[in-house]
Amino acid sequence: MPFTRRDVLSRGSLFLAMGITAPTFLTKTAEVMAATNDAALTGPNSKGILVVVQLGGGNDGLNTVVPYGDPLYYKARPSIGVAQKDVIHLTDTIGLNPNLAALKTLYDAKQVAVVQGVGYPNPNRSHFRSTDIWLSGRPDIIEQTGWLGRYLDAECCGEDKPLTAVDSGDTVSTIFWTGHSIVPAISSLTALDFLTDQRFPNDRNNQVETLKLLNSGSSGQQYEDFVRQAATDALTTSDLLKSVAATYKTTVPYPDTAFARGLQTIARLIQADLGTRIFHITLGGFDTHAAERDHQDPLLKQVAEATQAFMHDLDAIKQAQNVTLMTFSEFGRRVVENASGGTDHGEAAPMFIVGGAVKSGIYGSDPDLVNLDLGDIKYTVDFRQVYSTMLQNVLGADAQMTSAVIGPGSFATLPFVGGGTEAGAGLAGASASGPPSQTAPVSLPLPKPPLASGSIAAR
Amino acid sequence: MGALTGQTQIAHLLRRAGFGATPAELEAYAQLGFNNAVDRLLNPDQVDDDLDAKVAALNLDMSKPGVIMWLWFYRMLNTKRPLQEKMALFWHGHFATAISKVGSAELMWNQSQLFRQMGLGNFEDLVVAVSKDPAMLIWLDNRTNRKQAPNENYGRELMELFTLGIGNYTELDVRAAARAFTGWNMKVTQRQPNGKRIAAAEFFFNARQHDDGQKTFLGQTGNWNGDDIIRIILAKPASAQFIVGKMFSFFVWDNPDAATLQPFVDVYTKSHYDLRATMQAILRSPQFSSEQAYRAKIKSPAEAVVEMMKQLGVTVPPPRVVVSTTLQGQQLFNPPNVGGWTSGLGWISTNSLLERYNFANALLTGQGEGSIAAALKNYEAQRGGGTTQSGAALAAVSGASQANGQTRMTGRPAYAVNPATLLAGKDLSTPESVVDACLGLFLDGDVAASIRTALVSYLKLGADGKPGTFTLNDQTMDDKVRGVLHLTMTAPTYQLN
Repeated sequence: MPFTRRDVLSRGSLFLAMGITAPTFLTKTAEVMAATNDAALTGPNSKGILVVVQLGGGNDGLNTVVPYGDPLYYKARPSIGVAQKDVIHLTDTIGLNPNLAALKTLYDAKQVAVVQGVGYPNPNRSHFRSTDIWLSGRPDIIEQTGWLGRYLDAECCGEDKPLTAVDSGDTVSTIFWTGHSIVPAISSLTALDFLTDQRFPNDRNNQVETLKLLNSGSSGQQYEDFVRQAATDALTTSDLLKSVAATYKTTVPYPDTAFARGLQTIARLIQADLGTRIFHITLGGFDTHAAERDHQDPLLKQVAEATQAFMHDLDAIKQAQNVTLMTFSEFGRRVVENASGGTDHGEAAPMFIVGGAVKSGIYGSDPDLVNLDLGDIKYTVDFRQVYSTMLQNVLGADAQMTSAVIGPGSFATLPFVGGGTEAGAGLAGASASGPPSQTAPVSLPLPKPPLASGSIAAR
Repeated sequence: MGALTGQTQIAHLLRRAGFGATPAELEAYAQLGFNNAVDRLLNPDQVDDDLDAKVAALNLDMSKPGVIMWLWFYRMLNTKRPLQEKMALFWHGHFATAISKVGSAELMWNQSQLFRQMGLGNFEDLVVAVSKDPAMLIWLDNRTNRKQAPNENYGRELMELFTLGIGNYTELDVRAAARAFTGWNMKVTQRQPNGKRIAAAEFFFNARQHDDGQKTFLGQTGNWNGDDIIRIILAKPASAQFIVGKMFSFFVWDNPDAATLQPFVDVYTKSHYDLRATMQAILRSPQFSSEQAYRAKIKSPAEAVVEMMKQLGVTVPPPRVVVSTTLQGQQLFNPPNVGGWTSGLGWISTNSLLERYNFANALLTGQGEGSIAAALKNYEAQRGGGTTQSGAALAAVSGASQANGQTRMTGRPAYAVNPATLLAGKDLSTPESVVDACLGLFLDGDVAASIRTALVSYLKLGADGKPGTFTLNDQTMDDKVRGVLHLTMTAPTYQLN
């Protein structure tokens, strides 16, 4: 029997809350959800789905979107530069690393936008601090909560339209962290079940019910209550996934990589239409201090081929219009190569936006290899503009909620996806056909004061 | 804050300064009394232990990643020097180095030996030794850090993650440190028979690659070499705060404030970075033995599985333990990045908890995913490979445990626990007393009444799911009592250290 959204909603378990949550919040959400008219949550009026792909380690932007028309690029990278003849041309100045061929086919199908020069003021070259900045959305302060966690928080309380999020993998990213909402980590649809002694199958249900009982309620101790909630959710997620695995299938082949399988899991969950609006997945290995071509090239290939399969799958289940995928990394890398055939930590880098609602093309300026910041590419697009665009044009947040989530400052949306708003001015996408235009950088908000000095607790 | 006393205090000590205790160990340390117990833990070299001889007798193939991962669990489970192994785990998480890039099990094992030998010594000596360690030189690319074009990886992470913390240095300091460490290289002294993988290596200072120019680092100018960089860093008060903060967080409670740390920072600084003196101050402190510290941390996967095995009387870990902690987010010798594994609440996710419970079930029932090969195949199918080396490795290890009279994990191997043996001599006259006896194996201190009630109710539930009566006999000892043991390990309190 198909596992319908109404079934899930009636269980009140869809908004899987974990963490230091007040139990009343969870109950309230369940009640709210049960009262919802779920017809409004699917179909042409439904809000879109966001898939966040995190490239861990600092993906070298210059070897991803290659400024093959700039001689300074080859001067800086005599051994690791991508040869002109190998670059897949997008314009007459920039093109793609050849390992992104699968992405080019999506670009030709008008499903890809490239946003160049993305970063933030006062860039930080620590993996951990810069990742926290991207995940929290706050370059200006130390912020524990994640930007998507804040959105989930803002969207659900008091709202009559529930939503939820999933992290594809073993752990939950701090992109979702708040004091209230949790998000399950789902590594595969045939993931773990609670195992009991196989010799006594009739006792299994007794153990499951006792496990729930042991982990119900609250002790008032923060860590212990977190464990209780996670245990309860583990059983619920396990049941949920068994139903999804049984019912929803694909005929589209995916590459044989963990990352591709992760995207496939996401596609299955989208197909199951459980109301999940936001997904996150990580692919690591981009910290190419040495032998960069040996490591980055295959990873870019993985990303491109998995994304291509994912988009084909979404086309097959008629969800491509509703889904927007974005890639990001904590920073780009140093313009000049080092003596190990690699690059050190840098700053601004391009992002890919992929999906059926994307307005395909190139956004932002080609990298300026003359006016550098301590050897690194200066940003011309603040990532908070990209976030603002996703919140409003994909997730359907209004300007006020967006502002509450993103924090102080003015971050106009960009026109690369969905209903465009004003202030894409200066950042209009080049059309896929015809000569490309070199666009001017978007006007930036005033730079924030430097981070206060003082130790930041390391992980 | 209230103070812990008696067996509760000892159990707490052994969980934090070790990996929990068998009933016999708990008794032995309780006899010593807390202060003597702390002394014994702090002076591992003065404790007789035949562990090295037992390990040598296993005749393991130390070139295999899965083997060294399993071996470390074997050591954690059987060591008579628990703090030595716990410090090794702490420093491994701190100087996080991953075999996936280092590519040599021998070099990774040598690094862990360094942590065993120097983990309670002088921190400056330790950092210098780590900076020269071949696994580290490979991991953070310092072997290719040359005067002509320095590689910043080691200089940056040394400060950010290993000694000083973010916000206490500038990008220019990173570049100066990188220059100072140029030429810190290594010589491969032995390769594997197939010629590719490194089997042994040693530090080698390549003067030609070294930039011996003037460098300005943290405000001081000189012709600095790597040793100088370390000396200058450690002299900064921020460094003391940083490292003592990490130790306190790991051993006492998360996120201590500066005021709490001050007395321990003072000990560390006045003793010129003596780690033993610092640990003694921490373990003997009122904070350590307080109610506030009790069950204040989440058990890491390694701590969780080793304590389970100790309390269940398992002495040879099933090879599956390596896959299990990996699924729980902690693969020994292979942290996900140089920042180490997660910590605190990061250990708890829907996936990791289910795996924790399932490992407990596997220990109790001897049931797993059939053979190790099948378990790994399952794991790799979910994650897309990367552990194929460990496949053969773990098969080799299970061969090793076969040599110890244990069989592979099919059906009911020798280590499957016998509840009657575990509970021998305990009062089992009523369902309540059976539950108390089971709880006593795993949990010290006061156990919440709700846990006891839930388990007693479970004992009385029949196969039809309806409450009945419980009578202890061979059958119910095998199914229901075994079930209580399993469920106790799923209690929320049990996930807390």
